[in-house]
Parts: sequence; C-alpha cells; structure tokens
Amino acid sequence: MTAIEHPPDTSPSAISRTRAASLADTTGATADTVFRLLAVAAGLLVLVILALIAYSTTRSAWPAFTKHGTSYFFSTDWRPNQGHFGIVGFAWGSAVISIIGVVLAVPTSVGIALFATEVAPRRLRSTITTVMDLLASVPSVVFGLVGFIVLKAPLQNFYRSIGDAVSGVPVLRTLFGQGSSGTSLLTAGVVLAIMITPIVTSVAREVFATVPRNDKEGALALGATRSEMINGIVIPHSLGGLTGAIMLGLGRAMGETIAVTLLIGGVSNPDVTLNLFGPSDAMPAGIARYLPEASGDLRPALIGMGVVLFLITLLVNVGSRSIIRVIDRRLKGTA
Amino acid sequence: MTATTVPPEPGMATRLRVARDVRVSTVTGARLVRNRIATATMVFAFVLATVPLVFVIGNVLAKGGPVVTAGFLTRDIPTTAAAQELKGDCAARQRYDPTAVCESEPVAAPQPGMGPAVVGTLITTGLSALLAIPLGILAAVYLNEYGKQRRLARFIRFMTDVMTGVPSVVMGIFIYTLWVVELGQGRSALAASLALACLMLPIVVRSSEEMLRLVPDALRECSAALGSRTWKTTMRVVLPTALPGLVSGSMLAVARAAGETAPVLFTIGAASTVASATTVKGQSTTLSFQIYNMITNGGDLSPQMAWGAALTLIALVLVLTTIARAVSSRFVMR
Repeated sequence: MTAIEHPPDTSPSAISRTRAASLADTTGATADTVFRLLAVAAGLLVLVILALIAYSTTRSAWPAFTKHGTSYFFSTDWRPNQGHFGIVGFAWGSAVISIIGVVLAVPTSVGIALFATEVAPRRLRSTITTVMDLLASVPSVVFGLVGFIVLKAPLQNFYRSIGDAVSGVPVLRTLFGQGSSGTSLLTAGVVLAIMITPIVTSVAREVFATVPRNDKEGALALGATRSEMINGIVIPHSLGGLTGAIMLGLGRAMGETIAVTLLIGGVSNPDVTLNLFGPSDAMPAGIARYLPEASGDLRPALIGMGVVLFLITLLVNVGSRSIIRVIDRRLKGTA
Repeated sequence: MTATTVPPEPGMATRLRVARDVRVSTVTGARLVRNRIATATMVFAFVLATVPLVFVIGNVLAKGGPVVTAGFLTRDIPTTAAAQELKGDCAARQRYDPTAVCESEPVAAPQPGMGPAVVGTLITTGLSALLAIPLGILAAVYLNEYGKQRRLARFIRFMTDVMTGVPSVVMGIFIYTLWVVELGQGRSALAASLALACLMLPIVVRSSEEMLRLVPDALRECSAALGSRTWKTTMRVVLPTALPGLVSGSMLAVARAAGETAPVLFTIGAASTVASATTVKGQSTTLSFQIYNMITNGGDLSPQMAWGAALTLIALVLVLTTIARAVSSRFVMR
C-alpha cells in the first residue's frame, strides 16, 4: 500500500510544528492509564460474556436438571404436557444431521480448496473466493425459505420413490424408509452441508497454503502427476489442520438453527431413528420452535438444551481452535 | 495458454507451468487418467457448491422481484384480520378487533408490506453495531497494542475464536434469560441488539486485531520518538492507518448480524406497524424474523411477503458485504 511506502503522518518534514507539539504531550500520564484500563476491560469483556452465558443459562435451566435428574439427559421421552422431558431424541437428531452435513461438506470443501490452491489459474481463484463468500452470506432463514417452499414437494416425491425402490433391501430399508413429507433428517443434513461448506473450505485453503513449496516442487520434479503430488505431499501434511477444519464445521452444523427448524420436519416426540427420510427434531430447532411461547416446566427444559448445546459447541470449538492454532504456529515457523 | 505466450518472469508460476508441460507429456496412460479424474473431481466439487447458490439467489430474485417496491418497503405489515377482511370475512375481523365496524365491502384490499421489518432491521443492526464495534476495536487494541503475547492476551484471543463458534441461538437464549427474564426488561429492539452484539463482538475483535497487526511498527516507533504516549499513538497513528481494514471487518460482522434470526427469536417481540417498530425500548421486528414468521404462521399474503423480505434482506447483506470488500481491497498491505 502506498501509505506505507510514503507514510504521510510520520515523515518528519510532513509533520507541522503544532502537530509535533501536540504529539509530544508529556502530561497525558492519566489519559494513558485510563486508555489502557479501558482496553483491558474491553479485552476482558469477551471472557465476562462467555462466563455470563454459562452462568445465566445454567441458572435458568437448573430446575430442569434437578427436577428430572438423569431422565432429562438419558430419556427419549419428550412429552411436555405429561411432564416428561427427555432430550435424547433432540440430541440424536442434532447428531445425525450434523454428521450428514459434515460427511457431505468435507469432501466437497477439500475438493474446492485443492482446486483453489493447486489447480485453478490465478484469475479463477478470486472467483472461487467470491462464490464462497456469497454462499456464506446467504442468511440461514433464506435457505429455510427456499427449502420449505420450493423443494419440499419435489423432495417428498423423490423420497417416496427411493423409499419404494429400496423397501425390500435390509439395510437401505432402515435408512431410507417412508417419509411423510419432504422435510426430514436428510433435508436438514444437506442444507447444513451447504451452509458449512464455505467455512470448511476457507480453513482447508489456509491449511493447504501451509504446505511447503519445496516439498510440492520436489514431488513434481521427481515426475509425480499433480494428483500424486496432492496425495503424497499436500494431504499428509494437512491432516491435522483438516481435522481442525472438520471440527469447526461440526460445531457450526450443531448450532445452526433456523434452516434446520424449517427443514427437519418437527415432531412432537422425536425418537432415535435411522430413517433419514423421516421427520425428526434437533436441539437448536426445538429451542427455536418452542421457547418463544414456553412457560412453566417447559422453559427450563428448553434452556437446558441450550446449555447442553453451548457446552458441546464450546468443547468442539476449543478442540478445533487448538488444532488450527498449532497449524498457524507451524506456518509462521516455516515462513 | 502456454508458457511461450507469457513474458518470462522469474516467478514460481512460470517454473511450475514449464514443469507441468513436460510432466504431462511423459506420464503413462493410467497415471494420466487418474490425474485427469482427480482434477475433474475438484472442478465438480466447485460446481456442486455453486448450484445451491445459483438456485437460492435465482428463486429469491424471481419470486421476490415482483413484490419488492417502494410501497412494500414502507407499508405496514397487513394483519391477519385485514387479510381476512379481503375475503369479506367480517366475523373474523371482529374476533381480532371487537370494535371493528363491518362494512359490506372491504375498503381496500391489504397490500403486502414490510416497512416495520425494514425499520426494525436497521435499528437493531445499527444499535448492535454501535455496541459491538467500539468495544470490539478497543479489545483488539488491548490484544495487539498492550497484551501482545502475554498469557492473558493469548487466552482472550483463544476464547474469542471459541466465541465465534458459539451458536447464535445460544446468544439469543443468553439475552432472553439474563435481560428479558432475569432483569425483567422484557422483549425489545434493545434486547435483540444485545444478542446480535454478542454475536458480532468476537468477529469484530479478531478481524480488527488482524488489521492492527498490519500497521507497521515503524509508525508506532516514529510516534513514540516524537514523545507521544501509547494512547495518543494508538488514537492518532495506529487506528487511522488501519481505518479501512477496521471498517471492512466491522461491516462483514454487521452483515452477518443483519441476516441472523435465532438471536432475535426470543428477544424482539412483535410489531406490525412502522410507527410501533420505530423504537429502541419497545418491541419490534426484523426482516429475518418476519420471513420465519411468514413461513410458520402462514396466511394468504405470506409467501409473497416472505420472498419480498428475503430479497430485501439478501440485498441489504450483499450491499454491506460488497462495500466491505471494496474498502478492504484498497487496504491490502503486502
């Protein structure tokens, strides 16, 4: 940038006498201390908010934890009207759609990231970045809207025809059973895959960028094709970082709310099912669906799901960030 | 394009391109095929990711385009009662509004409108930006100018990264439990702004810190050599130099917050007139929230209003993102 090559403010000739005098302020000791304290306080704010989130949500959810005890965490029975609050069904739905999302998004993202770093000509690279940025900027609720209004009916027919086709095959019959409508675990999982692809791609690109040039050029010089170079050099070097990227995507997938709420179907008592074509519910979706109107025992039970969600995503993110941080350090070491 | 058409430059690209030409001519059948398949798979992955983008944008443009007019953006949201009146169902109207006087013919058919949501989105997003951006930049100043590699700063940096991964719905629950219920403040545009600010804060902190790191130390040293203290150096030299970067990072965070629904869901309440949505302490509504509402509580006008709101929202987010990119492209320091 030009401002750096010719810093206007700091070249001594450009600074007027008055400006220099105002900069050379020797009486600002108090201001300096105040500014530092303000900055420290702002820095600590992040920690305070995280602590407050943990405290405030746990406190509100406490009645659910103490009243229902282990059945809250280990029962699939969710019938708020009868006083049964078991969140396993919601947790199961969350796990299934997140896994579908990650399984679909990771190969795609790795492919895009490899394309962007190793194959694509320079001009196309910025196009890839733009497409990914655009995809990341589409609001969750818009994915939900398009899925709900445009895709629901065609998907219903699609699921039905596949369900009929595999109704005699043992394993497939369980996975792709009858769906009552186009909104299902699979629909939600696919939307999650679309939504986490940009973030996984961007981290994967950063990871691939840390592969030393010498190693890649060495492989090419030894006569390796590009795919052999990628398999032999880029992928092994990036495994750790890719793990971080996958976990980051998993964390995003678990917390994604509105698109899932609209596309998972929503059933009053979600069970532990493997039928990917069937409707179910997930933790964030259940919260979004019921909390706005919740009262009585239902409210702490729903907030409790939020606490569980918070803790799980916190753990997943601490894990992924720790891995990515190590990669960062390696990059700075080799650069 | 071959290496001969490009003026030879002593760069990595030229060397690789030459190597590639030699390589392809010498590899044998199976390896060549495998290489081609690998390349095709990567291209396919990229095409696969563009399909949903094109599909979503295309649908929103096609269905929202005819709805979005100046009137749509400023009119009140027609209530269910008004929509019923269109059908001449006066009894339904009186259920919502016992004082309503029924005429034989409805005075005017209700028109789709999203005015309150437009106003509410601008107010809540603007307010959350006012809260999160100064605090976020100040926190970034701490991390980059004071904390640097100290243990506390490293911990805050790490937890900020972790906080970017906290689901937006959890931010909504947090403000709902603490502000709406515990402190008894009730649902309001302010409550929604607080939730959105929590969401934006870590994004602003991390992007701002990256930008402050790009400011050369020579500038700080020059300022210090002239006798100015750290706070003056920061305010007069570091922040102005990094300003374009700070603006672009903040605007990306604002764009993200503008599109969020989950934090708003439990915190904003409801509003259906522009007058009632023009508030900070009262209940309001946002575009994203209205889209969700229109889908879940369907009415006659709901689908077209949802598409119109979606187009408005995407346009808003894209304008913010594009401005941010334009600003940051002038701030690439290499």
